Amino acid sequence: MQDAENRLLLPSHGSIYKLLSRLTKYGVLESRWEDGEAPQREGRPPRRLYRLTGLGVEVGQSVRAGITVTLDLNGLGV
Amino acid sequence: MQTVLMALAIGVLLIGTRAALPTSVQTLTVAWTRALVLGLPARVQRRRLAEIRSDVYEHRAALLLEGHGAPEAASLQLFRLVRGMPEDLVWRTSFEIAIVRRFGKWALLPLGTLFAALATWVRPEAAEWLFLLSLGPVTVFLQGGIFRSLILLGNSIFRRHYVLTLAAVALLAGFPILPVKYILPTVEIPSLTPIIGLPAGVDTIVAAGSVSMMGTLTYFVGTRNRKVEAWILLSILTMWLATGAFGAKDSVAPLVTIYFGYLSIASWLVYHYLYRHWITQVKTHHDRQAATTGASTRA
Repeated sequence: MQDAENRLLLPSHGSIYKLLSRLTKYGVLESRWEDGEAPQREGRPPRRLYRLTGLGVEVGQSVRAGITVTLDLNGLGV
Repeated sequence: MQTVLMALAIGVLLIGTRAALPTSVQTLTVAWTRALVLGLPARVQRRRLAEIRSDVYEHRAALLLEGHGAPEAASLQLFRLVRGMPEDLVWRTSFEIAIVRRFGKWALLPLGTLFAALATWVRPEAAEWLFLLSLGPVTVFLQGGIFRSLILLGNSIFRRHYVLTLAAVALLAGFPILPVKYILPTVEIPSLTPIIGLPAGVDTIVAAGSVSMMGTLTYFVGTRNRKVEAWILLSILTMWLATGAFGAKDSVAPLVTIYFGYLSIASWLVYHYLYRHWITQVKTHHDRQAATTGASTRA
C-alpha cells in the first residue's frame, strides 16, 4: 500500500481474500469485525481486522530466518 | 470475456462522467460482487459483500491520502476490479468444485449422462447452454481452464465440439468403474487425429482439433504452471482468431488445419517432456530442501 509504483499491482479483491481466508484456515491469522461506534461516527463501513496468531508470529520468525515452514490443515481435508 | 468487456465498456462510460466516477466505481464493484455471490450461502454472501465494501472504501481513502485526484483514484480502482474479475470467477467456481469434491465423481455421472444425451440426441442447442451453466462442476477436471473454456465457447465453430467433448469427459469421469487415469489416454488419442486427417483431407478436422485441445487441457489439470497456462491460452486465442479470419466452417482453412497439426505435436511434446521434467525438478528440489534443512516447522 505504501509503494506508489506498486499501486497498479495491488492484488485484486479475489486474490487478497482467498489468501487471507487460507491463512486464517491455517491458523496463521485470526480476524474479527470491527465493532463499536467508530465506523458509524466516521461514516465508513466496518473493517475486518486481522492479526497474527501465536503460530503466525512463529511462522513469520521462521520464514525470516530462512527456515522452511510446512503447514497443514488437519481435519480440513486440504 | 463478455463480462470483462462489459465492465470495460461501463468503465469507459463512467470516465465520461467524471463527477459521478468515484461513487460509481464503488457501486460497480459492489454490484459485481453481488452478482458473484448469487446462489451462495447467505453467510458467505454477507461476509464477502462486507469485505468488499470496506476494501473499496479503504482503498479509495488510501489513494486520496496519497494525493491522487478522485477520478484517478476511481480509474485505479476500476482497473483493479477488471483485472481481478478472472480471479473472482475462479473463487466463485471453487464452491462448485468443493461440492463435486465432497460428493466425489459420482456427482458427475448423472450430469455427464444428462448432457451427453442432450448434446447427442435430444436438443444440441439447449445442451450447449445448459452445459455452459454446468461449467462450475465440470471444472473439477479443468481447474484453471475456465477462461479457455469461455474463449472456446465464444466461438460458434468450436462451441459444439467443445461441449460434446466436455459431455464425454464428464460422462467418462462419472462412470464409477472407470478411474480417471484411464480417461486421460482416452482423451489423448483424438489429439493425433489432425495429423492423420491432414493428408487425408478430412473435413471434420476442426472437431478433432477441439478434442485434441481438450486432451491437452485435461493433462494440465492441477499443474498451476503460469507459463504453460499462458502458452495454451495464447494457442487457443490464435486458433480462435485464425478460424475467424479465414471463415472456416465445414471446410477447413489451410492455416487452421496446419495449426492444429502443430498444436497437437507441440502439446504432446510439452506434456511428455517439459511437464514431466518440471515436475521431477520441483519434487527433487523439494526433497533436497527437506533433507538438508531438516528444520521444518510443522504446525
